[in-house]
Amino acid sequence: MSIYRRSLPITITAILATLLIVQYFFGFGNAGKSLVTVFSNWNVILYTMATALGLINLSVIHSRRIINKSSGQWPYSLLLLITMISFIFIGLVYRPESETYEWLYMTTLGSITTAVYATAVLLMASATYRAFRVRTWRSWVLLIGFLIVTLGNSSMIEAIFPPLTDLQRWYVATPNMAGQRAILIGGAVGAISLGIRTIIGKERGVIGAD
Amino acid sequence: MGWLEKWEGGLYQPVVMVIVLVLCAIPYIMPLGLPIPIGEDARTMYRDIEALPEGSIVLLHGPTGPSSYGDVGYGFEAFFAHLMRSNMRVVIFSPSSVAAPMYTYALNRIKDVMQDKVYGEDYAYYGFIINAETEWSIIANDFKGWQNNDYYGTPITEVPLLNEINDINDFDAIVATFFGTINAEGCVRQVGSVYTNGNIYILAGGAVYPYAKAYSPEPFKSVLFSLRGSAEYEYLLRRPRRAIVSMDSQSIMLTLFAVLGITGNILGYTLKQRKIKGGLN
Repeated sequence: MSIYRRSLPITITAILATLLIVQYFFGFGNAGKSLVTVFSNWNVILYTMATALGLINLSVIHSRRIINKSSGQWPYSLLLLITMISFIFIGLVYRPESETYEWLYMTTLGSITTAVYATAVLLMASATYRAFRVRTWRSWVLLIGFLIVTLGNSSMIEAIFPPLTDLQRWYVATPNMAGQRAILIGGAVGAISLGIRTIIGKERGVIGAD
Repeated sequence: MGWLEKWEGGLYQPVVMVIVLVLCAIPYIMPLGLPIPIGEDARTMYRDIEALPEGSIVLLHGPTGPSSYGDVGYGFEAFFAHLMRSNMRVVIFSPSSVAAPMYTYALNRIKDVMQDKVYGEDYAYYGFIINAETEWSIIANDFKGWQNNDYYGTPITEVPLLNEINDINDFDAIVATFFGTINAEGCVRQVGSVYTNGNIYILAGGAVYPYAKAYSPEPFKSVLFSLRGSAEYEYLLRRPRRAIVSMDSQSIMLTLFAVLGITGNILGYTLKQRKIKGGLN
């Protein structure tokens, strides 16, 4: 790998990461704040550029499908492009904060995404019937935990048998939290070691190398 | 093949789906008004907000995008309504571009408490910032320096409420709605270390709740759980809206899930025993 593809990206990553870590812990007043603002701006600019790139890429791929009349695909591509262009046009004309845009957004994207998300309940119900079969002592633990959390969150059951909710709250606050915190601490230790490896140039995944 | 073999072989799937659809729909057609016992987190948050003096400035983070609105959006409406009703001054900012139109939507749903409220003085919309870690970093470190305008393009210097904020510690409380873990992580890392008032209240979606709860009581003073927390808050507000109605449906579904888990075991075990018995004979 050349200096431009390996050493330079690693050096830039190391300098910037060190700067941000030091700023996080020591602040450095207004200078530190300005540093954060500069990087935040860069972050937002890169995100926006990536969105713009995605928009161009999407337009090219789907236009090609329409021109070639790809079997079974071009009507969907046409629909996608019409929707995309319509939303951009309406957003530019009415502005995204207008009631017209909000109405359009909610009646199309809002309804569709909510419906797609809601269908998960059907799959979950069907899966619940199969997933909690008791075969080993571990599956007993899973089933008992599932019943405590599920029934404890049901206000109907809570009204009939209040101790179950106390049990559910204990379950979430004690065994669950112990497990969660253990995972968090383990993850944090892993992140620190990955960060150190990245800063000293041992971890090259960040620059796309193996 | 007996009915049990057919049932276990896949017949249960359409039957379960029909039951789910029917039971889900009932509370929306005929609200059941199932009791909603109030948890300590919701009580703490409600009590603390009530205890804040009128005119306190609160940062309200949310709402989320449309797909997760049913999970935490109703709670956002309840918090917003409570803060406005208690004559607090509220600065709102959203976590993403898809969430921004939901702000207008939420605002329209709390019109009853907004009649005498003035934009820029009683509430202001800071807009959205892309990327969870970045948004919390900006809010925590450089609220005023990063952006010159509010969401509508008005210079911050012309929006008195926004102009008053110089630092994150100018907020008397922070109320945030989270749907994804990444947002909670950003808040913990960026805000938890610099916000000294300690009044951070969270409404966490189902997926993020166990994670957010691990950071309670510090830096998160209260962590409300998803739709359940929203319904509890609506109940405390004496302002029953969609969270309470949806909670009826959710309670029925959770009970059904438990019944399905138990039934699946009983019928599966029965079939297994029948097969063993058949094999022996």
